[in-house]
Amino acid sequence: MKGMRQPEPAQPAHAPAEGLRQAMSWLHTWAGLVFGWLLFAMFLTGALSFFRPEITRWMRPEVAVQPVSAARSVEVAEAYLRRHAPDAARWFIVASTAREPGVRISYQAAKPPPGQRGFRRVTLDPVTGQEIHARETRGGDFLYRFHFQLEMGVPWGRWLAGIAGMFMLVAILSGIITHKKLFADFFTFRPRKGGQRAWMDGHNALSVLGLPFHLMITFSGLVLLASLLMPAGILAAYDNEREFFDEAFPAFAMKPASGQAAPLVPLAPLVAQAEQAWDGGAIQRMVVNRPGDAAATVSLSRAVSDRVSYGRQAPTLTFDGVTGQPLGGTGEAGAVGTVAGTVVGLHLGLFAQPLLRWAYFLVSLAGTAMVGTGLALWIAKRRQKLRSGAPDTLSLRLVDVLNAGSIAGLCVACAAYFWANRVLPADLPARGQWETRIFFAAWAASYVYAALRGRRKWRDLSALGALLLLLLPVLNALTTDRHLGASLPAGDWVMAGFDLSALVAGLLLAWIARKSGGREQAASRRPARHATAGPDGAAPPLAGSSNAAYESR
Amino acid sequence: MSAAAFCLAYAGFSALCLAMDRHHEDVFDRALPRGRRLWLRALGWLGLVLSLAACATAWGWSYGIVEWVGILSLAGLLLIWLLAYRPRAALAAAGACAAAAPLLAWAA
Repeated sequence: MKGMRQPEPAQPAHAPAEGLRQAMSWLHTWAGLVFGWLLFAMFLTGALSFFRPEITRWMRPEVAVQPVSAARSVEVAEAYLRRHAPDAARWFIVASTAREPGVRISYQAAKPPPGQRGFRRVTLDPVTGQEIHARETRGGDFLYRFHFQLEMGVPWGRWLAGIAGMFMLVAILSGIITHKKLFADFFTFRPRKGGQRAWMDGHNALSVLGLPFHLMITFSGLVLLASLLMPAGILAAYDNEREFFDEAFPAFAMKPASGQAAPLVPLAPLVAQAEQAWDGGAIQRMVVNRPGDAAATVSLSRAVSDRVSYGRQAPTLTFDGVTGQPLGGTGEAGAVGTVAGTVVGLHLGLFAQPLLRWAYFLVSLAGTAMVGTGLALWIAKRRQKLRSGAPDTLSLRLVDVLNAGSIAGLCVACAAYFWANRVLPADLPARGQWETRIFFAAWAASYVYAALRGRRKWRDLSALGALLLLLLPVLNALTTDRHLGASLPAGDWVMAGFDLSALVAGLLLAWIARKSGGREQAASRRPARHATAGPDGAAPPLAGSSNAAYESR
Repeated sequence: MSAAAFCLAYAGFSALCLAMDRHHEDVFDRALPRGRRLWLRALGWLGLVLSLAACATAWGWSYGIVEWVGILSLAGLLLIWLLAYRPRAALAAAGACAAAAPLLAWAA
């Protein structure tokens, strides 16, 4: 790394700092590149996950139900479960909310058929109490799960996501150290300079302006996976992880049945009791252990969206399932629990009301763009160093193909996922799986196309993504009656918001397609120019410096 | 109130941006006098602080700070993007924001 050309006069007093900065630049470049492709996907699907329920609702357009109170939700669920699953080992009830108006229940059958886990999920219409039959789809849950499990088996996907998150944190910290003029360049963005300079400015602006969010989301994401990434703390104090989680989340611990039958207490009045105990706090979920048994218990949890510090674990209250007597519960967490809950809660963003949710979404998109511009910058830097007229080296071509497939290709894949939701027949067996298969097929095809199509790959893939997204509202109008013409006058902001967002995203991709078309043409014109200085007046690329990873700014 | 907070953040960042030689020359084509730099800096920081105050009034301090950080990021990115392609429009928007902020705060 020593002996690089330096645009600024090197001062001996600063030599150690420069050494650190160069080392960090190297780290930033390679940590960012190796995990950048994966991180881009995690950022984009994570950003979309802030609208997970809304995406699911758009993907199940035949479900149009109105939210009801928690007490009414439990009433509806209780009636259904008493009729259909009286001998289940436990019942789970998630109350109707404004964001997810359906009453979601699930139960574990007492004697599942051989070879099955016997876990059944049902969504009920909160008004009629009838089971809702809609097209089978994983909806926003697919994007949410992909964000941290990468569609791999437990625990491999989460491990990989955790490792990628650690590299992200390394990349952020090394990036801060590497950035020479964080404050002087705070507002600097010079797209007209082109090439490396423009990408560098864009990358810096997106990173620095979003820095508090990027740091928070990366760190808290790692905290969410902490028990998986660093199990030593738990294993030192407990015999196994099960014991730890049972103690940490007592409401969800499985308790043995007594074997004696006893009628279950009516559930709806318990909701009123809990609401009173929490000063009108919203009830989100209810777990009934061993319904119909003398040892039955009923646990209620407060809505995690009530407070950011609840994270994933809101206070719970447990009642005796036969007498209805309160058995205690977990109250407000202590200082440590509140801090941990806040860190987790900030990541999940469930507490965020619509305006803040949009801010979360937009800043995560800035984070997505930060990763994307970082990947593009890797190419731009090295392309600038090539002897003018020289074709891209193999490594440049390879990285560019992976970049195009990972960035533009993922946009195409997401659009294809939404298209599949509308185009596939509603009664197709394993329909939800076909939707995700189409997602991955479209993504894989994008990589292949990028590898084959060379120069036009960015423009074509972005244009395809733009086209798919711009036509999505049209497709929605052709296949459902909840199109923009109906949803806008009705004030149906879930459907209208999705369609409008698809239009905006489509326009953005179209802009990128136009820009990259110009850029790729410029790149192909480059051989015609002879040994001129770079567009920003930098010295002509030095021969023999192609292996230098660090470039002074 | 959130609109006021956003406007204040945008106007504040604009003033801080104009207080830097490079951006001042880009927008006005002339060098930045020292006195004006100090004024712009003071106004810029005032805008950001008032934006924080608006967030805190609307959501309380703990949530307000989270909102404020998000608003700062978005306002800053919008300003940078406008400055690059439409510097005059960016300046006009800053003026409009500064004018609109008290009205929005008063209306909320």
